[in-house]
Amino acid sequence: MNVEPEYVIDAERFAWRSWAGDVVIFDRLSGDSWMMERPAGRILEFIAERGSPSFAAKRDCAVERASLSTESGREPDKVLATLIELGILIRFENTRSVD
Amino acid sequence: MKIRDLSIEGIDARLRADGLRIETGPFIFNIASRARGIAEALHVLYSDFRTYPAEGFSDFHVSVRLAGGLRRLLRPQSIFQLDGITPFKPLPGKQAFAMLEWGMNWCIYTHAHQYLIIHGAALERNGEALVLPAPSGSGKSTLCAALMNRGWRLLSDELILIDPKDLKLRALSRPVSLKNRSIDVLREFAPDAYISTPIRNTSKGTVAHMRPSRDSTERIGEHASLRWVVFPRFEEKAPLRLNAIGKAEMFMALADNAFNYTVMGELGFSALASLVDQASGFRADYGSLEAVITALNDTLEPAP
Repeated sequence: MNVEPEYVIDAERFAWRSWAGDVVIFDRLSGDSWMMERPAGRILEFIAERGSPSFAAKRDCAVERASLSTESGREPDKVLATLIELGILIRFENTRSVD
Repeated sequence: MKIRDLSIEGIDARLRADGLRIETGPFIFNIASRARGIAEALHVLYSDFRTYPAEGFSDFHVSVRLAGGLRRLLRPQSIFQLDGITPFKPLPGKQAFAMLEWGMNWCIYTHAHQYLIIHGAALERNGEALVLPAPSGSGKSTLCAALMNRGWRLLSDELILIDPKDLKLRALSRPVSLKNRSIDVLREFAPDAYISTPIRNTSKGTVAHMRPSRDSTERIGEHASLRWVVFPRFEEKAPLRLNAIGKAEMFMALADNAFNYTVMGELGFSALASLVDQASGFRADYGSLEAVITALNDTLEPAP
């Protein structure tokens, strides 16, 4: 059984709006806003819009992960780690199997 | 009653007594002053604005007074006050009217947090607003004044006021502040427009004010919907570049130019995001007024 982690945005602390993969995030705690361009923003947009059960296996998101690596040279997992470190994303282990 | 219905002596008498009340869009200022030149400047630059008797509510009670003592004779200075409080150091007496204008702007952007306030100019055509957010020195006032003389209605030269409840822009339509070379540029571009006598050696260089078009002040109560956001940048003899920008970039640039975005918290975020949804954004680098206005008129299509 292949078990993938799930990611959700901390919606109590952050508000966000996205436009074609570019995301602006508002931090209710600090009052700061910042922008995340695609393809990194697209991954966040994906999580925000559709939730993230079996995130890594979703085809669209897999495309964005590949795009992120290609276009920016950044590892998707490092982006996700940064988002978790910033408190935007909460990661928890999925107990469901992924197809 | 309009300011033009008063004589200069009549304006001066009110300024020296209980104050001259002027309605500038959503705000009423009560202005008191004994400084030279204020009555004359108000008479021509605010000629189409409404004025009311001194009794009654005013949003801001401001004054431009002369500093007292021996200095008054040797080197006159002007002091701006709001409710008797002096927020700034005095300026030379000849800069009294410029100080009044800057002080009125300060009153609004430090107090009127019921509005999202963005540093920039705004104009309207057919109910749709074009905003030009930019810091000082970018050429926004020059472009704003030029557009006002090419069929656009002035909403504001300096402070873009947006009501977060209905996302409409409110008009201020006060005189357009022109600086340095733009004064002569606009004299040539719009020879029929009234531009005040330049005030030299201010902190912003030489400053003059253009009277808002009569249409701008007559329709000051008409709100407008945001349609276009253009970030202007003037560069001498630069070729015109008018490039579309993405929504998120537009959002961040608007927030960077806002006076009170952080003060408003999530309300400001939500309002700005909704405004960005309904607007198209551009960056305009220009070296010629005629070229940029032609390009804007060609590019800024009205809503279907």
